[in-house]
Amino acid sequence: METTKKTTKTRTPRTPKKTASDGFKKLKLLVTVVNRSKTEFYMDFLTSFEANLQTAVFGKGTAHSETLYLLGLEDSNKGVIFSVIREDKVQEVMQALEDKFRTLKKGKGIAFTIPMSSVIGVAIYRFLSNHKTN
Amino acid sequence: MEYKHEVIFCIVNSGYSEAVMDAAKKLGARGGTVINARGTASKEAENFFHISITPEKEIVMILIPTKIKDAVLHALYKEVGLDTEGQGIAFSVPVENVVGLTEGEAPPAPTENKKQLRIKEV
Repeated sequence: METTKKTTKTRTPRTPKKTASDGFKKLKLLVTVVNRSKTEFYMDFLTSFEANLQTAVFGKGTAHSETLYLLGLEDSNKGVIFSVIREDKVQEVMQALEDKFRTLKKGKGIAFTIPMSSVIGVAIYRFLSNHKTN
Repeated sequence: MEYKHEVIFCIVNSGYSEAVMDAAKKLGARGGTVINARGTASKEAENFFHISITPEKEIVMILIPTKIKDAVLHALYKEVGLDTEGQGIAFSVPVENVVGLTEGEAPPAPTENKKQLRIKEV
């Protein structure tokens, strides 16, 4: 009887640990480069995919003049958006972005993700991953 | 081999982003994004290594296929490396889920790149 009790005791603290790791989702840094005039639009768009932290910086594009002419992109001013998103949202976000890149007038751009290896601080992780408890 | 694309970040003195793009384009990179930035370095380290650091920098972000990464990095090292006026450093980061690249306009084949590189080295 005692041995069985012991095993149950050792098991019980394990269960909450397991659920905690189950709920843990990795984070990715999503980098989106778009026309400067569309920066605001894409930031709003990404907010709808639970991207809580976003930073936009302005940059300048350097493409072949031929390419610019062919694509009809005379404006070389770009906006670069860095946003942190949860891993399970990535596919959905990329699909939606690709759709917008294709369909939106002057809304063409590129986007890619960089895996993040670590984050310090539980509150910060919760903020970045939009993990709501209670 | 998991990652098909890499992003090269090249940090150079202000005004040298065109030199970076010229070097990268020769090897098949199609475009880049230039971001203005400000560098910081300790005075002590500057004196120790006998270099002066211009605080005004430009960061050039270039998204390229992984297979031409080494060639591009090599070219950047030679054309705008620390020994040149551009005083550039370059590194690459593997990226996933790339969208928005035009597939039709493929970069030149890697064999051609290697030939070009060899000619330049000689």
